[in-house]
Amino acid sequence: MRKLLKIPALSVPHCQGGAAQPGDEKGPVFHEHWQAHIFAITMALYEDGHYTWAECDSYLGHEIQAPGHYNPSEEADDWDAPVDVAKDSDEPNRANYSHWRANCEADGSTYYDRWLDSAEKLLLDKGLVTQAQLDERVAALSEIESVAPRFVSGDFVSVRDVKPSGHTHLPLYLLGKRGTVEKDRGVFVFPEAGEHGDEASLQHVYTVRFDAQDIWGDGAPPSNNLNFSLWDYHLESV
Amino acid sequence: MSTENSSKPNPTTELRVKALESLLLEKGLIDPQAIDKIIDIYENEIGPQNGAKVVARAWVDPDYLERLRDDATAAIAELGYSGVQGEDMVIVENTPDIHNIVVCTLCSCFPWPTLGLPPVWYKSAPYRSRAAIDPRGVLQEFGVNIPDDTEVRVWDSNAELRYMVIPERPPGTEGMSEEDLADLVTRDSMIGVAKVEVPGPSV
Repeated sequence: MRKLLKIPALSVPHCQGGAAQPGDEKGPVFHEHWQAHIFAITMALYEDGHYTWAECDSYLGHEIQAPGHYNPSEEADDWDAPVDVAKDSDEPNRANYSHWRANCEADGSTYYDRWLDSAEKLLLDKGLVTQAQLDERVAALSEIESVAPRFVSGDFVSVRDVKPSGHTHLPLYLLGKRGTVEKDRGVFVFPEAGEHGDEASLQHVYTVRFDAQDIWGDGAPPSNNLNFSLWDYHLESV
Repeated sequence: MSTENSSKPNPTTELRVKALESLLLEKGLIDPQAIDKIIDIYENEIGPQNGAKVVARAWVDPDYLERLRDDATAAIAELGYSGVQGEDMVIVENTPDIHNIVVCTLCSCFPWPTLGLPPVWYKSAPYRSRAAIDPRGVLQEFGVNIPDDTEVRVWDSNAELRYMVIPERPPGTEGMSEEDLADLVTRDSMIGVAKVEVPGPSV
């Protein structure tokens, strides 16, 4: 079976972001995992010499200063805005948190979007990726992410008791048998989709565990179990 | 980005990063372990606790302060802090007569090896513009009142130099260990939007 693209895990580091730093404001270094990743990707490619610091700095600066991205040389009216004084109970030693500070937080939160924009443009200009490749990958990942699983780990399921026609990956001795979903293995191409009319060609595949006795009967050792990869289509809730 | 899917919503930022990352992984241009390591370094190793140690050393050791004044990059490297965005360091000292505040009006330049990655507000356009135009107003927003006859110096990190404020050592800290002094020093005080305070006695 053809495994589709592995969606990068955007892993959570073993220490949650924001290890306590002396006198630091609350909050993680990276507020979202994707921000950590675009930062690290940009740094890694720089460290490997794919571009100079001046180059990536130039692309980032261009994005930050682009028209429509708030620029100090444009009207800086926010600091004239009426101060909306509200007590910030988390910071008793600070002045009341004002409208301006809120604007700073809101505007600054879009910062890594500029990193993403500049990284895409820099990598396109360097020929490391093409626009077609990016578009295709976005579309593919979008399609994969839109496929919702019907089951989660721990669900009790039974195998649909319908004998497949044509080539199948479903061992026939499982028809009608009951098992437990062990793990969702991700999205795969379902080769039998064409034979079942409107069945989706992309589906989740699960490891499903069956006790040997549930398949072979009481003669089987009670401590034996069998594990299979089964597509969403093959399974029903119990 | 995708011209043929104009009826679909724009891909999320997260999806775009995943797409870029998966492409680069597939092409062998990035290594997942290297990505995790970089994130780990900037989340856990590099941060203002580094700069705090520089400040504490400067407070207790006049010779070190002289070396900082003379060649801040080298003096900071003595404590083991150096690297990207810290290659050309300058320290600026707060005194009773002078208060320093640092900004990068053009983008977000910040002395990473000593202060870590900049806080959200530092990178914002409202800060970047107002710090240059109305630094006393900015300081008031951060709860710092500077007397009218105190000089306020704004340092714009517009080129290679990166600035770190050495805040004033607060009274009441005589006899404290260097380690305890470092614990008092906040990132905001080394940017110049805060003073170092001694915590009051707990009630």
